[in-house]
Amino acid sequence: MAAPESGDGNNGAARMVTLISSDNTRFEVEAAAASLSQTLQLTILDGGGGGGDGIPLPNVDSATLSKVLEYCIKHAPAAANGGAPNATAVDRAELERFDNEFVNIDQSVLYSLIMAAHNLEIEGLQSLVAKKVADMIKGKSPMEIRRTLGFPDPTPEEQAEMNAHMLEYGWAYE
Amino acid sequence: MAAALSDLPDDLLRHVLSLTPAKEAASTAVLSRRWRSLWRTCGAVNIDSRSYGSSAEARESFVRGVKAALDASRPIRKLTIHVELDAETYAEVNKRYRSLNKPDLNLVDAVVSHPAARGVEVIHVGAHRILGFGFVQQGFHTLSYGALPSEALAVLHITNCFLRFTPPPGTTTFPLLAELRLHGCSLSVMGLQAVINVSPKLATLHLQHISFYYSDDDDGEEEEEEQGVTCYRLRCPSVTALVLKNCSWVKGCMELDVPRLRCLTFKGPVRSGLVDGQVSLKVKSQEQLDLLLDRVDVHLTDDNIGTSRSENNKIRVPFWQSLRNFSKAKVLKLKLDYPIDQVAVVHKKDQDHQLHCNDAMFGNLTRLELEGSFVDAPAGKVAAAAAIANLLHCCPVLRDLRLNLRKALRSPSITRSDFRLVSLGRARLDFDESVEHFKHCRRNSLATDDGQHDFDTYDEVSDIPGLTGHSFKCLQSCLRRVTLQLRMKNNDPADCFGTQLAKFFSTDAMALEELYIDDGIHRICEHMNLVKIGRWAATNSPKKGKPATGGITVLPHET
Repeated sequence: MAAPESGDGNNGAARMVTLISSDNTRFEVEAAAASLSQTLQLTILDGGGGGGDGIPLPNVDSATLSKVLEYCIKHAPAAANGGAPNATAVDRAELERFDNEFVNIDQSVLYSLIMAAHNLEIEGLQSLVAKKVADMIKGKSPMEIRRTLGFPDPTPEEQAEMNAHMLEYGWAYE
Repeated sequence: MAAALSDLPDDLLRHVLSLTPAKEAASTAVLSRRWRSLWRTCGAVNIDSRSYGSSAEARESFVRGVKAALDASRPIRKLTIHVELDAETYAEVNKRYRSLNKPDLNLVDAVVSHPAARGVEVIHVGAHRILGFGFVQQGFHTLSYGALPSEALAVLHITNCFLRFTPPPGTTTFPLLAELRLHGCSLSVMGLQAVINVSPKLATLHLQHISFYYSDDDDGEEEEEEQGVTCYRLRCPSVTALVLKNCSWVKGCMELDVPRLRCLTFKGPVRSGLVDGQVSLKVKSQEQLDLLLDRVDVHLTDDNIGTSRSENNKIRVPFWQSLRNFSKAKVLKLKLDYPIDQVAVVHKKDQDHQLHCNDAMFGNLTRLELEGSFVDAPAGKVAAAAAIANLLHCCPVLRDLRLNLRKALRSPSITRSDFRLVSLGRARLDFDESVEHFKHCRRNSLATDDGQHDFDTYDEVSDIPGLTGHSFKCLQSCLRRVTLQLRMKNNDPADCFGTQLAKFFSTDAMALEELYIDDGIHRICEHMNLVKIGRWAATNSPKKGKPATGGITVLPHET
C-alpha cells in the first residue's frame, strides 16, 4: 500500500514540524509530540509548521524549548494512547521516573519552564513544574521558604510589616 | 525569559500555591506585598496534618490553622484534606476533649461543611491511621453525607474514612457529581445507593477495598432472597465506568445493576452461586449492557487455595458464567491468579452447559488479553491449551490476542481421563472435527509424550494437542496480531510451551501479520527466526490455502 501523499497529514505518525525559538534556533519534531501543546495543536492540524515554514515561538528561548520538547517527546506516545487504559504499570513507572528527573533542575530553568508550559498550554508540564515548586515550599518554615525561593532578607520596614501580619496569621507560623 | 519567580504572573504563582499545603501557602503572605493575598485567592485549600507535629498540642494548632485557612480563603474550588493520626495521639486527643465535640476527630466534616467550601468542585479526602512500619489503615475520621457541599461538587475522592452516608431529611442533591472514588472506606450499601440516587450525572464509580456494612436503618425494599442468601441490588443508572476491586459485603451478596456501563474493572474472587460476603459479578439489564460494553478488565483472585480437583467446578463454572455477562465486550482483559487449566472445559457436555456451545459468545470481541500461569507438565500444557482453545472458540472476530503466561508451581487440575480425551483429540473443541484431525492430533500427542527434544532441532517442535489441527473461526480470517509473553529459563528445552504456541499461531492463524514474542531471554526469537516461522507457515500454506504472500513479522515484544 502506497504511503499517503503529504496533503493527508491527519494521521501524523511520522509527520515532522519545525519550531523556531526566540533566538532563531530551529527544532524539528514529530507533529504528535508538538501537539501536546494546545497552542500548537491547532496550527499543526491546519497543516502549519511543515516544510520550510516553521512555527515561530517568540516567547520561548532555545534552551527552554529544547527542555519542553524533551518532555513532549517522552510523553507523546502515552498521550496518543489516550492515557491510562493501555498503559502498563511499567510504562507509568518509567514516565514517573522521567518526570522526577526532568524537574531536578535549576530554579531559573524551572521558572522559564512554567512560563513556556503556560504559553504553549501543555497541561501535563504545567502541573509537573508547578508541583515541583510547591514541593520546594512544602514542609518549610517561613524563613526557609523565603531563602528557598530566593527572596532577600527583609528590610526593617518589611520586617515590621511581617511581624504585624504574623500576629494576624499566627496559626501559619506555629 | 522568566528567570526568577517574581517574573511569573500572579495566576501562575496562584497555581503553585494551589498545590501547596495550607500552612506553608499562608506563610508565603509575608514574602512581599505582592504575595500577601495570593494564597487566599488561589482557589484551593490543602489541609495537611503533616505540616504540624503529631503531638496533641500540635493537633490543636492544626485544628486552629485549618479553621483560619478556611476563614481567610475564598472562593474555594478545590479542597484536599490529608489527616494522619496514630493510635497514641488519637487516645490523647480523645482524652483532651471529654465532651462530644472533638474538633480534631470531627475535622473532615467541619472542613467540608465550612461556608467557604460551599461552591467547591473537587474534594479529595484521605484520613489515615498510621500503624508504623509504613502501614496505613482506615482512620478515625468520619465523613457525613449532610456535611458535603452539594451544589457544584463534581469530583469526590475519599480514602480511609468511615462514611455516614445516611441521607439527612430534606432534599440534598448532587446535580453535578460525575466522579465518585472510594478507597478503603466502610459504608452502608444503602448510604451509597442514596448518594447515587441523587447524583444524576454520576459517570465514574470507583470502589476499592470497601467494606459494605448492613445498617439497621436500611429498609428491606431492595432485598431479595435467592438460594437462601440475602441479595442486595445496587442500582447505578448513569454510571458508565465502574471499578470494583477487593470489595466485601458482610451480609448476603450484592448485585450490580449498571445499564449504561461501558468500562468495567473487577478484581476479586469468583465463586459459584451466591455466597455471603461476595460482591457478585452478575450484572443486570443484560440487553442494554450488551449494546454498550467496550472494555472489561477482570482480575480473578484465588481464594480457593487447597481446592481439590473434585471441587474444580467451583472456579470453572462461575468463571464461564461470569464471562457470559460480558458477551458483547470489544476488549477483554483477563488475569487469573491460578493456572489457566482450571477454567478449561474439555467435555462436550460441559461445553454445552458452560459455554453454551456458542461459537459467538464474544461476537464483538476484537482484543483478548489473558494473563495467568500454566503447569509445565504434559497434562498441564494440554489443559492450558484447552483453556486457550475454549476462549478462541468463543471469539469469532478476534484480531489481537495477547497471552502472558508464567509457570505455575501447582499440579494441573485436569484429570487423567480428561488428559487422554484432549490429547487424543476426542474432546470436541470445535465443530469441524474430522478423522484427519483425529489422526493428526494422535501423532502429535506421541511427540509430546517423550518430552525432551534437542536444543537445535526446531523442526521437531511439537504441535499442541487441543489446539493444533482444530479450526477456530478467528484463526481463519481475522486474527492479525499475536503477542506471546512466556518467561523462559536458559535450561528450558527448545520444545517448550512458548515455542509450541508460537508455532501453532504461525502455522494455523491464516491472517496473522505480526507475532510478538517475549520470553524474557530472547531465545524463542533468536532461534525461531523468520526463516523458521516462514518455513512453518509455508509447509502449512498449500494444504490450508494460505496465500503465498502472507508473510508474518516476528518481533521481540518490547516490555
